[in-house]
Amino acid sequence: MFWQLSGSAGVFDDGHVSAHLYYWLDKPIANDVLKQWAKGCDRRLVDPAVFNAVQPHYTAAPLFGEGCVDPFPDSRSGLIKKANAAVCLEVRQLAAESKQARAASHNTLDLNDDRVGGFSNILATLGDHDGGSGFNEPLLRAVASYVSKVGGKKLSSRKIG
Amino acid sequence: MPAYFSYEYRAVDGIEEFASLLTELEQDRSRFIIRGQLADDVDAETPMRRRLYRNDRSEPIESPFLDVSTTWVMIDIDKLALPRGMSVREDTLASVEYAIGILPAEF
Repeated sequence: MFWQLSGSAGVFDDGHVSAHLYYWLDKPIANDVLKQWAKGCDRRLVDPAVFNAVQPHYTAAPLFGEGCVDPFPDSRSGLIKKANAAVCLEVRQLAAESKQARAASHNTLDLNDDRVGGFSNILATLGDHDGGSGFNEPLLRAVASYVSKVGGKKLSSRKIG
Repeated sequence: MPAYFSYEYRAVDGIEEFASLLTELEQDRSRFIIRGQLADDVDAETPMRRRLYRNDRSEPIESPFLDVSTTWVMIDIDKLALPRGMSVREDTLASVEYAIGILPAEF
């Protein structure tokens, strides 16, 4: 996936993130289908308005005038390589799944669940082996990914072990 | 925003080529991308409106874009609160990873 921070990211406060996350799909999907799929997602995260054929997707980096400091002078975008280069959206299945079912599955998520792809993939890059990314960055990313999945839930020793 | 736009088609195959294109476009404030596809009867060299195709259009350039299936999506994360102690300036990649982790499991 390719991420690109929004123009306002980090300008007014650094406790929030605003970004455009681009994904490649394993098959073409129509805007109407994506809108239906988005209805089953958290509206605060997946805005169905972007699934429109003529909706502009602004891609240019912002300009900072005199006296304004770019909070990301080096880079405000990047490519994150995932286990799968393309996302498989099971749009029909997701459209039929209720919000309650999705919420329930979220609450029972654990580290061994195959759906926690981000966490597992990040941990796989931990270390100085071939393809490894060292220790600090993967650990920080893995923690962020985990926290985003389970929030403040206490991690059991069984899962750690 | 202008009423008429110039048009350019760029073919990409896969996330890496798409990422290269998006990185290139970061340097050009006059361009953006859309999901639509130009209808066959529209002259790509003529400035056109950013409107969906209509059968009853007066001129092809007035409603030139077809609503087609595409192989990419953009998820717009807007002011997502980070966990206490995390800074988007200091922990940029972790902040992005946090946002990704909140998306539906497919992502």
